[in-house]
Amino acid sequence: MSRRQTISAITSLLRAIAPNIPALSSPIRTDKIYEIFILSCVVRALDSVGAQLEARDSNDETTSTLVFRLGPGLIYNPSSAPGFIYINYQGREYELQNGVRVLGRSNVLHELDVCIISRAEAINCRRNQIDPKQGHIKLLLECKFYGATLPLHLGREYLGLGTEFSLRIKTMVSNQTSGEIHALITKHRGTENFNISTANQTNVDMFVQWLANELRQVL
Amino acid sequence: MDKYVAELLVTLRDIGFSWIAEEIEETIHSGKSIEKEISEIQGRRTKKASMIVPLTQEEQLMLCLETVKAYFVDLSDIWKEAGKNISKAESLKTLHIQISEIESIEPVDLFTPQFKGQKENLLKLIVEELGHE
Repeated sequence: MSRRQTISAITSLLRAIAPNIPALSSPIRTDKIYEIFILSCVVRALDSVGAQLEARDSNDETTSTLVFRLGPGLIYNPSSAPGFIYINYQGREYELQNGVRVLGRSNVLHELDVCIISRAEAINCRRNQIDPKQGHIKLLLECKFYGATLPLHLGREYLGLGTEFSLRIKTMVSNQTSGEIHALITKHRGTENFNISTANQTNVDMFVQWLANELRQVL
Repeated sequence: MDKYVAELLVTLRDIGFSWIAEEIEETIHSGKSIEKEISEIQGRRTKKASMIVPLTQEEQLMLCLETVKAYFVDLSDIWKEAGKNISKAESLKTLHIQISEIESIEPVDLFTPQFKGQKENLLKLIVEELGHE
């Protein structure tokens, strides 16, 4: 098939596919899918270190359906908060959360794509209708799903976010890569995990192993 | 801009995915960074520096196809894998996951059943063209 023919076939197929892929109706949905994939990598890591896990809904009740939200959630507001994974690791309790807002060092709220919060802090926040504080965060993953390459401003934004959260496990994760962002982040002693996608299963497995090693140190 | 890239961008806009077309355009307009060696003034030594150069037409097309592959092929694999990963934990084996709007319990639609076959055909075409790189 010539290039002309292949491109025509691709454009025809894209037109036929469009109604069947509502996931692409906005970048908010694609970002959310990627965040949930990265959260699932954390679940794998937690399972591999022997943590006990349980799905809970936004009211902190056991659930068989874990609901994630297309928007930032307040941990104390069940209509905006997503479900989460309750973690018990060697008797210590935490929550694995997606898209909840947390107060940074400046007392400004930030939506964290994937994070682990101490259970006591999460319960206290639900009871008192307040936002969690950064000192109770044990893991922070900033997730970026992009088509081909990552724009540099994402690296700058991640550095800004990083200064708001003092913790050992914080990293930028993406299905793509960027030499410039790698240089920027590592120069400031940050970490990135790029090319984390089902298209690179080896990288995913290494990422899960890295998470498991780090989680053993901080949980 | 490469004529095939232009055609793909028009298609993406026509079918309601302007934001993907814009992402591709922005990436093309950003160019790429390359390293080059420059001579120091009045010296024999050279040093490394970087500069931004435009993407070639071939690079533009490859970037465009890789982007289409990421969104139209890889994304659904990622969603499927997320479910698999979570169910690997014994206590979460039967857990169902869904995405909902704020203040709703209804799941949003992501991929219809017809999509699977179409995705495989699209992947074949993209891989064939990327292979020409």
